[in-house]
Amino acid sequence: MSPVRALPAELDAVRALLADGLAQITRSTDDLEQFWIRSACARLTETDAVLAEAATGGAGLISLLVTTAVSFGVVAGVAALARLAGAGAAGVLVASGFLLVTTLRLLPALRSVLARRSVAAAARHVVPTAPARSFGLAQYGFAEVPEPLVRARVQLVSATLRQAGSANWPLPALRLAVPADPVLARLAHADLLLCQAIDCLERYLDDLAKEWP
Amino acid sequence: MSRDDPFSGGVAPRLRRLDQELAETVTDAQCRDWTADRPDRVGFARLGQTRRELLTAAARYRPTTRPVDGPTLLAALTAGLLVTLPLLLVIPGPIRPLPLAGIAVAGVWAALAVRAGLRRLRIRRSRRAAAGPAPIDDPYLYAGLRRRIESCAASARADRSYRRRAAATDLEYALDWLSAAQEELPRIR
Repeated sequence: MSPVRALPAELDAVRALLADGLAQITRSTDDLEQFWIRSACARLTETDAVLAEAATGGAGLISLLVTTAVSFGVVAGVAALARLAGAGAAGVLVASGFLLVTTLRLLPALRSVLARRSVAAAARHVVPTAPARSFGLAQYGFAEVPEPLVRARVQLVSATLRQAGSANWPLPALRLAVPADPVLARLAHADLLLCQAIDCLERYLDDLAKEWP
Repeated sequence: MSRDDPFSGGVAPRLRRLDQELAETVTDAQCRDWTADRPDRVGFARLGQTRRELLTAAARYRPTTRPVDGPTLLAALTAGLLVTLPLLLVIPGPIRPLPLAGIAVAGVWAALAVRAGLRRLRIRRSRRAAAGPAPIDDPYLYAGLRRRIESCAASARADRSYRRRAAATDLEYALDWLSAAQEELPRIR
């Protein structure tokens, strides 16, 4: 019997591995201000924030509540204003319908702006600026991408595929299911950020191998 | 493509279209990597960086509405005809603010439910479809993206506002990441 794994437990394991890899990077490099290292650390902290958001769940419920409250408020307010202005029945209907559709179309853009700001603020807060350096290890740096990061990616992909369900594993279904489901979309974004962090580290190591400063 | 010449409209809608195409490509390549159909974790990550720079550039303009897709339009029309219209006819005094707001919320919920159902139906129907070639392997994709990003950058560089001129720098970073995604720089191991 394989143990049943809940998504939050799995994501906690992935986040522990991420923290491990980040600690390994900050412990073993001297130049945290180097471009690739800094980008990798920022991506890793952002991945952590996205995973924490995905583990709490309720994204779909919250967006449903926000949409409901906004449409209720907009329609009630517009109808009250139109009646005060002395419009007829057709006028009230047209005005409230038009404003409702406009608001609902503008809502995703506003939400994405807010989300980008909050994620950027979180990433800015957590990036380590002063390394907690251990003795003698720093000058050697690291020779390959830290092992916990690669393992974290493997675990994250298996958790995502399990969350998608085995019926959706054929490629055309998976391609449609990932943007449609908010939890899967978060997991895919986290995976993308993690791959970017690994890619940044690989480019850093490549530059070191080519003796570039 | 007459749609993408530099005189066709503002930069923000063009960036929005680019962003949508890139998002589809990145999702496709990522799913191919997950299912080991085309295992490559670097290409889609770099295209994702391109998309991130494009979003940074688009954030310097006013937010634009994204175009309405087919299922959403169909769901909205269905909900309006089947839920909102009968409720408006049945409920006495539907023009008062609170009943009207209640009817609107019912219509919105019905539209969301219909859209979710349509999406699920589409996913279920596509389970047996054949997966075509990966768009990330298409060299013309990179050429077209590069040309369009360059035209956006040229428009941004000629803008009056200094805030929007800064978008040209982001678009140049986007071009860097695009060529990195195309060339796959030699890496260790």
